[in-house]
Amino acid sequence: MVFESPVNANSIKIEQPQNEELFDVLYDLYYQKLYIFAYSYISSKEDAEEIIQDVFVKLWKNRNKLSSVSNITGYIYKVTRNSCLDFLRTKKNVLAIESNMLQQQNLLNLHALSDDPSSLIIEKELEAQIMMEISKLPEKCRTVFVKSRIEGLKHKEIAEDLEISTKTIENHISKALRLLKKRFKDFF
Amino acid sequence: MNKKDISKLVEGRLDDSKKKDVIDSLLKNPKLQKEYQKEKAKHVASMIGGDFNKRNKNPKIYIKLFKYAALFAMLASIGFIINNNAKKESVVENKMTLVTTSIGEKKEVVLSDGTIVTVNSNSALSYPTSFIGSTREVVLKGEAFFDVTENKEMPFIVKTNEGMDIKVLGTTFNVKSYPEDSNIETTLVTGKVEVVERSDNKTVFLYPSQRATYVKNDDQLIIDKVDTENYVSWKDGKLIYDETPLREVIKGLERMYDITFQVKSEEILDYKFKGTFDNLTIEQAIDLFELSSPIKGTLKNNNVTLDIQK
Repeated sequence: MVFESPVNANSIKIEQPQNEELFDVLYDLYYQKLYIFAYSYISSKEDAEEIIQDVFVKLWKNRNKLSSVSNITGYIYKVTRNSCLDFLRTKKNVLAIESNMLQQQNLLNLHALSDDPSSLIIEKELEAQIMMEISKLPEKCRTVFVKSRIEGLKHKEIAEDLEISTKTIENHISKALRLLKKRFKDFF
Repeated sequence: MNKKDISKLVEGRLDDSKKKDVIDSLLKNPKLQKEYQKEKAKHVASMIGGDFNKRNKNPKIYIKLFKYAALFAMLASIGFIINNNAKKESVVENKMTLVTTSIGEKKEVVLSDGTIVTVNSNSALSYPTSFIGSTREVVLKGEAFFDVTENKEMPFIVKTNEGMDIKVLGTTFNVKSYPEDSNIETTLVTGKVEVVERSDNKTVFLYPSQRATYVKNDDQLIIDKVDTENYVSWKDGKLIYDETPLREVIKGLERMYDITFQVKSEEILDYKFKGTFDNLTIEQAIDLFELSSPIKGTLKNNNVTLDIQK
């Protein structure tokens, strides 16, 4: 296992078991939304599903780095968008018949997805939706979770900011992860 | 090939041959393509934001959904037993209610938080049976007047179907967002509201007597000061116009009376009309046209033809 910052022994001990948990939560939070997004531009359910699976494989491989990513939604969105763009780029060349509709549609959507202002609309909405899910957490728990996992602040920084101990912060984060996981596992 | 075709393509409502035509012409026209890109993104964003787009889903999630439904049913029955004495309507499942109005019709709706919404003609309002979570959200298509019960903890958000949301804590205001209009208008009567452009999250605060006009095509927000009475008087069956282009007046009248308008010449549409239609019949309304402007109208089979008086 490779850790991001092996210097801080404290954070290794706590963060490590949480990474898998964080991954689970991310999967439940994002899977459906990303699938809708990919399918809208790819126009093939199977391919869209495969792309999203690959995105999560990538996230899984990087799960130990996830907690240090400063904007998780932005990161996941970027990975997904790039995968979709790669897919459309290859599709563009596979069928060289000018009149083929699917090819034309892929080309049109390749342009559409490459357009940054348009893409930003989707990214913002995704961010808003994720925030909405997180906003349902209890207040203290939410504040800590957002500062740590969304804004990417270090535990020590949050501790100073909120004037609580790092231990309390760790408790809040595991509670948030537990609650989010529970919400998705039991209720969905 | 027009804007409607773009929307239809985005929403997947074209048959194959038409779809091919539209895609072809979009690829040849960079300007329209830009429009497609934006429309597409907005549509995808709304799909992501849509409550639970669980259809077109892999089967795994279906099973999850089943579990969800079963659990809900269980919770609902427990909730029902517990709450039976307290309140009959308090079902745990939070359903969305849709209120629609036809042309010439108005409806008043009281939401679970006491907020009163007057829905103007040819409009639709969807809202949850009770508000759960950190915000109170409703979706509006068309026009409505909101008298929002104050709750600082739970902002009240009006989502329009096109690119603009209105966020408030407690206040009275009017929102006009008909899909066929080129603008979305928010007019504030009392309190304070926040208008949010969905595309870039740009927000603008409105103060009493201010109106925010969102120009859909230009993606632009204009704030001006207005006489609010003119914008909310429809609640009392009154349409008040003050130097309003006739094209807007006509839209207002078409929504109030079930009639269509035709004009003999385009310039009529730009004529700035001043006058009040106070609970008039359509015949009286046409008379008012002739009295207060150089425009003459003839009514025939629910169709009014407007012409400049010679």
